[in-house]
Amino acid sequence: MYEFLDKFEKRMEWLGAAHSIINRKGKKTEIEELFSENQLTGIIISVLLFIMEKTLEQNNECDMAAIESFLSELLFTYYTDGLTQQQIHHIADYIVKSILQNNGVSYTYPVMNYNKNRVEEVTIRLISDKIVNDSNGRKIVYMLTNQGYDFLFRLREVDEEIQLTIEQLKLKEYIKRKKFSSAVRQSVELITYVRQKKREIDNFILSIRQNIHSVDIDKYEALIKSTYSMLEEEYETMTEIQNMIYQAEQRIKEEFKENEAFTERLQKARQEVQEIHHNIGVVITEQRDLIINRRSLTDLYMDTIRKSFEFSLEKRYDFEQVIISALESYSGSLDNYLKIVRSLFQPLYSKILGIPQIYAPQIIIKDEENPDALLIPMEEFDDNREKERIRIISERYVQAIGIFIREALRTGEAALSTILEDLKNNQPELYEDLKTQRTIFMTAIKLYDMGTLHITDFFEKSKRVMMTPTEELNVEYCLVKLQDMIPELSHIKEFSIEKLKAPIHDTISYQEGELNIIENIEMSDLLFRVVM
Amino acid sequence: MEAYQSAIQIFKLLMSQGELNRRDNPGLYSEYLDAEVQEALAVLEQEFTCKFLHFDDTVYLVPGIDSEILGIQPAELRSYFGSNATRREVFLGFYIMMYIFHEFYSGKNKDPKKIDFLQVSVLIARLDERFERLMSTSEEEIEELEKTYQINLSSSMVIWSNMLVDHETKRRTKYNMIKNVCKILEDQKLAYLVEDQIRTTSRLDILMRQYYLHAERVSQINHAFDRGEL
Repeated sequence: MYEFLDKFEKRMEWLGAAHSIINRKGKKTEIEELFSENQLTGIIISVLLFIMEKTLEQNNECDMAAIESFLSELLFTYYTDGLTQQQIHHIADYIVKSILQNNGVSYTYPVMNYNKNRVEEVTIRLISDKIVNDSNGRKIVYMLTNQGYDFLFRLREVDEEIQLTIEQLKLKEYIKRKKFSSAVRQSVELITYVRQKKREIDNFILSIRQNIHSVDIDKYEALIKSTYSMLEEEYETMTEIQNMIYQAEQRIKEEFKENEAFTERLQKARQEVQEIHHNIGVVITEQRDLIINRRSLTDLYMDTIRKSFEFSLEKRYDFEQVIISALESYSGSLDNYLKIVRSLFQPLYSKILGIPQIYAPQIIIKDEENPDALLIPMEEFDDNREKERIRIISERYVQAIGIFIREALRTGEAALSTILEDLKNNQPELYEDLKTQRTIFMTAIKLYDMGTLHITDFFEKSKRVMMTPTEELNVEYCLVKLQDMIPELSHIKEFSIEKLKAPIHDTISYQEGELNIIENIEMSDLLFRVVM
Repeated sequence: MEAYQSAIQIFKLLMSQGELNRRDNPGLYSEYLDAEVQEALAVLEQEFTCKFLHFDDTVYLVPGIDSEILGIQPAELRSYFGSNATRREVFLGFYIMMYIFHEFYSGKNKDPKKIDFLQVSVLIARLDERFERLMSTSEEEIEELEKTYQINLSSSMVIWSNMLVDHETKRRTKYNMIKNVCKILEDQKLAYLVEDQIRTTSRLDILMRQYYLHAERVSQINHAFDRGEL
């Protein structure tokens, strides 16, 4: 083999990363079209750099909201100001989930390995994520992978490891020459580099925990050898630098005593030295943490590798064929197929040990008492019956809204409690019917949720309405149905609902099989009002 | 006798929590490793038709597919989909649940887990595509089966295709259907929904890699499907 082709695959890995961004898989044309050629590539790299910046800041997590806000500012300032927040949300989503994470599917790039004389699939993953729990619940935070760092550093044509050493040398030289302002900057850079190393280790631990098979043994060894030996050396160098700082501090103190005329300059130098001193302290602490963690990382890796062998050698069945296709062609009408999920669900013990079982799920008792219930009743599959059921539900909505509007028209405003009382006394059958499945209460609450209805506007606009009865409340359908029943309906400018302080108490009773069920209703009273 | 007492304690904990790990219960965990306790547990395993899986410092209690005592009963599982749910809806929900598992764990590599997360929008598109394909290729076949057994695969697909993807006020949408399935998975500590992505728990990852996908289980699964026949 030609010597110059040695480690060719390593060079190509970098190209693979570039390929994943430039020749994006799964292009969404509606988003791509928003930008001119290659503009989006630049934006994606900017987002990557932003993620790197955020992940290097201590105690700072890069979530989707942060990316969106960065993108919003970036696009507005440098690219285009004509995008809505919704579009920016879609762009951020597209960049992070579809391109950088390839919709969660591992992205591979075929690379020729000349040493082994075979094509290898190199996995490209520039960012990874983890779930964190905060006060608002779960959220996803994104971070750069080692490959991501590598890629971005190569874009700047600087090898990070050389850079770290160069930064140290520069710092030493600055201190020697008493260029403390530059040295402060340099010490901050050093903190950034060491934190980046720390992130690399954290990412590595995370990838081991998530999936040991995605971890390359060569990468593991390289990381262990290079990072730790380098860190140990650096740890010594940094201690050296810290000693230099002590000496500089001493010299400044002495100068301070002797030369009071230069107080301002010396004062500044002293502050800067203190700042460097503090920064170097931070670097040393973080490096020490990393060195101490070395053992735990090795243990974790070895342990996980060992355990992974336990299952990776087993034979597995084809999920699609054994389960999905079987379900698709399932011809049984009993529920036995549901058992296939048993092994994944938590063990259920309440039935044998718990008394609440007797009271709680009546459905189980019914099934046990009457095994025939497991047969599918024919009527469930009768379309006409289903249509009739939906028509009745829909009719109840129309009736309920009709009553609310009529009562409000009669007196200008009407409380739900009064309407219910009237119905109960004068039309008890209708009252009971409208309470079925809590229809009258739920309709009132849904109308309250919708806010004011502008009925005249609705009829004037002659909006096309689907005149099909539905199981869900469709106010437009109800209004069109009510048009013939309430002549003044189209003259109502506003129909509004307000919440009153007093509560309503009611009960619904019905029979289910042999069970008598009573539901107690408690809700705020509502006031219906019309403006003509 | 002590070994039996420890085994019962472990069993009790596993029944209530489903798993026992070294971090939360170091005492019981070390007792689990004792050979005599293992023997006693083997008896319980056999009698209760279940399995103790030990992986990554955690012991899981996995009910067997035919475990009538510890495993969830079909009727109980059905009630998860709501007391008003029709059998077609239950079938659809269950199909979606299994399809989610398929999307995650049908990898042919050493590690069967092939994706880290599944976006709800992607899942909806995949199901749309699959149902469309099924409906067009096997309409006649399904109709024939329906006549014989009144099965509801095609009706379940019709329910799905008639649903809107998402709607502000409507409850019966594809998005909500998936949300309900994820709620069940979350209750069972198997998966959860975060920022419109489905993520699996390490519990599900382990159960799938360690046990559920094992080729030896095929006959049991086939059996469950067969016994559904009238």
